[in-house]
Amino acid sequence: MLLLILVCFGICGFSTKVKHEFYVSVTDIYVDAEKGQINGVVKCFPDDWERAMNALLANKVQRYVQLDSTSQDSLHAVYLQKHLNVQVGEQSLKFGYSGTVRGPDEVYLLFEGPMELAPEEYASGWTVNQTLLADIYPTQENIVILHYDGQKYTSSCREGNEYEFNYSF
Amino acid sequence: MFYIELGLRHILDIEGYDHMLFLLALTLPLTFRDWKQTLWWVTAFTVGHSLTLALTATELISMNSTWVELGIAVTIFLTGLFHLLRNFSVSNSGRYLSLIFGAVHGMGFGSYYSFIAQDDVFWWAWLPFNVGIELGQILLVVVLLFVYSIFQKIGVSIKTVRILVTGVVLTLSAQMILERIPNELF
Repeated sequence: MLLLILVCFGICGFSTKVKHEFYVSVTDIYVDAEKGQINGVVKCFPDDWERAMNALLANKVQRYVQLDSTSQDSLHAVYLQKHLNVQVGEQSLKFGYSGTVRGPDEVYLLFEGPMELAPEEYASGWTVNQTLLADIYPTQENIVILHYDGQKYTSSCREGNEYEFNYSF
Repeated sequence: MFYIELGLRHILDIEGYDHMLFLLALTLPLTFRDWKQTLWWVTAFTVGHSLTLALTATELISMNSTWVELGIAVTIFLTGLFHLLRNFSVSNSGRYLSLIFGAVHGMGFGSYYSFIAQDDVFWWAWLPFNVGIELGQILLVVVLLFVYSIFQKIGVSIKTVRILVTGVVLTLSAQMILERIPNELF
């Protein structure tokens, strides 16, 4: 019993910040051959997103929530452009931010771009690099789901794979 | 495959080591010779965890996350205390303890799971995700029992090791409890 008490006191100085917090986002990328478009949506938690946006405004007096929707959209576009890079073969997908939808517990960021390759070329050589929110949370994990020709592939960009993965359907 | 890996990482994530601490507490009285009991206990935890994970993620049950986090810390403390008071004896009651406490831990993960598993993959991903959790737990428990067996081999009293580990478990979980007590209680 004395041993037990000694261990208990000995370890008391150890700090326990172990609340199981998860920093995660989910991105869907669709190859829409009929419309000749690449569409996508990023889903993340509103508080995480707000923190990332405030970090962009670090040198300004205004906070993210004080901005009008046009200014918020500009921030979203800049951030998304910087943190989501997708290549198919040698071709970088050129998509642009197209809007935000807010749910009760999540924020959806929409993006779209033209299909610049023939549809069958999207079957192989995908490289996805997604560092969204990783600048804020080192343990951020960005789940990415690729949709192509009725097929689906799920993976994630995280610290362990340097926020990048490759895939061919 | 992705969801199996995700389940594995959920258990082995050092950033949130409350799961590991619970397994450390749970396996306190076990050795490799008790492999059947070990498997029962670990599986009971996964069953409890899987059920409440699904129920919480589908919003069939709902609990304030602050209280769930507190509950998780309490289960770790009680598991350590339970084994200490029973002088580290192995009994069937361990599996029921494991099932109930697994259920508490599962509630802590429901909102995360419903966020990552969208409607069309919800149930399709649920099984592999929980298989990943089970595999992660088995891996962790095998490592723990292996460490215990090394101590035995080199002549260290296993009782002493268990008391030391219990001290670690009780102290860390007590700290967790204090940190997680909801503000509304004050």
